[in-house]
Amino acid sequence: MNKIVIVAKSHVTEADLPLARLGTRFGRLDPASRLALLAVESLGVDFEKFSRDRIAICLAAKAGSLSTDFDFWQGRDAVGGPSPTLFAYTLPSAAIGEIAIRHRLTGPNLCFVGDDQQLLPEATDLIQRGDADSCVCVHGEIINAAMAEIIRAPPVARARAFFLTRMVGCPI
Amino acid sequence: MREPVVVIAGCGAISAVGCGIEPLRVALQKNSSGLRPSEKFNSPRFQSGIVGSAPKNAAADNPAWFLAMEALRQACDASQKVLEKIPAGRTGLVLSTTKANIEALERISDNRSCSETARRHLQADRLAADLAAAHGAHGPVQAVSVACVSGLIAIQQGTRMIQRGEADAVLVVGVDCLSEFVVAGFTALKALDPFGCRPFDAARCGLSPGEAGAALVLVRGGDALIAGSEFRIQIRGFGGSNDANHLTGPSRDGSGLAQAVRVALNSAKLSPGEIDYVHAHGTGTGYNDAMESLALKTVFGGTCPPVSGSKGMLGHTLGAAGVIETICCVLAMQENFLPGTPRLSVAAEGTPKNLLHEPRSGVRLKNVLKLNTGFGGVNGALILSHE
Repeated sequence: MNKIVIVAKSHVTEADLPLARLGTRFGRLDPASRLALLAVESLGVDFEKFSRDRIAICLAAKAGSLSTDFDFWQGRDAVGGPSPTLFAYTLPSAAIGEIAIRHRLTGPNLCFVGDDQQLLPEATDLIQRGDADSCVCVHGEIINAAMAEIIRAPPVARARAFFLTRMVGCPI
Repeated sequence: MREPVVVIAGCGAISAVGCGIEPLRVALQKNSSGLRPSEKFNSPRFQSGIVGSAPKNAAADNPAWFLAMEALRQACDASQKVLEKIPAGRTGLVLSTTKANIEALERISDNRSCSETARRHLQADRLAADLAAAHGAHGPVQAVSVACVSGLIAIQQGTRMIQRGEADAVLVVGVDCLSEFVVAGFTALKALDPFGCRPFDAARCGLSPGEAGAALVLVRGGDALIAGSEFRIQIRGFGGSNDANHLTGPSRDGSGLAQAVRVALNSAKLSPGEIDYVHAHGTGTGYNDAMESLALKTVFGGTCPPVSGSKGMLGHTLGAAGVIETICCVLAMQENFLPGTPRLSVAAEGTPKNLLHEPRSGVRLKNVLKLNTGFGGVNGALILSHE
C-alpha cells in the first residue's frame, strides 16, 4: 500500500481575509466559506497536476453553519424576506461547494459537524480505499459573537487546511 | 483481506405518512401522499403552505430530538435480538442532519422559551452524542452534514465503521424538522411548488418541504451475529462526486451524478444492467429532475431500469431524505414491489421511459440504486443488494 502523506498545510484567521485577492465572487461568500477557501488557496497546491475527479474534499465544521444561520435569520423581517444568497450558505458543507467550484474538483465529499479528530483519519481512509488519490481537508472554526453567546462557546474565526496524497507518483 | 458484509437489521421512521414502518409501507403500496396544507405556513411570507408534516407536538422546543429518538426506538426494537449480542462499546452512531434543532434559534431570536437541551441540540455533534448516549452506543459517533446527500453519506460512514472493525453495529439516524427557517429559505430561492411538489411531472415547479426522523441499524453480516436472522439486504456500494458547477443548482448535463453512479456500480462490482430499480432524488424542481433524467440516460442508455421517487409522498426531508428513502427501497425489496411516484400526472419530456406512476407488485428486486443530490453540487449513489 502506498504511503499517504500530508504534503501541504495552512492556517488562516479572520485577520488574513482583507489581504486575500481571490476575485469579486470571494467577497460575496459567507465568512466560513471565505476562510475555508483562503486556507485552501494558502496550501499553494497546483491542482492542475492532478486528475480533478480523483481529489476528494473533506470538511469538519466546528459549529456547523450556525453563525451564518444567525445572520440569515436576522433578515427574516426584511422587506422581501431573508436573503436567498445567504440561505445557500446555511449548510455546514457550503464551503465544500465553493472549494469544488473554484478548483473544479469533482471527487467525493465528506463533511462533519464538530472538531477535527475525524478529519485526517477519514481522508486517509478515502484514499486507502481508492475513492480518491488525494484529499483537500479543511477544519473551519467560525463562531461569531452572537452565536457564541447562544451556544456558550468562545468566538473564533479561523481555518486550517491540509492536502493529503499518496507518496508514490505524487506530482508535487 | 475481504471486508465484512454490512446488512440492515432494523428500520424506523416517523414522517408525513405517520409514525412507524407500517404506515410508510402502506403509503408506498397505495401510492398515497402525506403532503397537506399547513396552517403554520399558510402565510404570504411563504411561497407555499403545502408541506409534509410528521405527527409530533407542535409546541415542543426540541422536535429534532423527538423525531430522531422515535425513529431510533423503532429501529432498535426491530433489531433487538442482534443488538443485545453486541457490547455497547462496539455500537456506533452516525447522525445525518442539515439543520439539527434549528427550532431553538427561532425561539431564542423571538425571545421565546427554549430549554438548555434544545439549545445544545442546535449543534449537530452534541445532538449525535446525546442520541448515542441515550441508546447506550458507546462506540464511534459522527455527525454528518453534506446537504441533501447527508443520509446516503451517513449510511456509507456507518458501513465503513463496521468494515474498518471499529464497530459491530451502527445506528444511522437522519433527522430534519419543518421550520420557518427552512421554509423561508426555500421561499427566498423561489424553490417551492405552490400546489405541492410533482416530481418528474411536466407541470412541476418546485419542491415541498417535509420533516422526518428515520433510522437504520447496520450490523456486520456473514457470521454468527446474524445467523438464522431474516436480514438479507446489504449495503453493497457507494459513489460520491461533486458537480463543481453551482452552489444551489445542479449541473445541467447530469455528468456529476452519472460519475457518482459509475463509482457506486464499480464499488458494488455490478454492471448497469444488473440494477433492477432506481429510487430517484426527484425533488420536483425543474432543473433537478431534468438533470437526474439525463444522468440516468448517460449511465443506462436506452435500457434504464424502472425509476420512481417518494418526495411527492414525504416532501423533501433534507438530512433525513437519504435514510428514509433508503428505507423505502428496503421495504420494496422485502415486499417484492416497485413503488410509484405520488403526485405525478403527466411525465415531463425527457424523463426515463420506465418512470413508474403507480406501484407494481410481484417484482423481485435484487439490486437497487438510491440517488440523492444536494446544494454545493454534491451527489451520492448507494446500492443495496438482496442476498
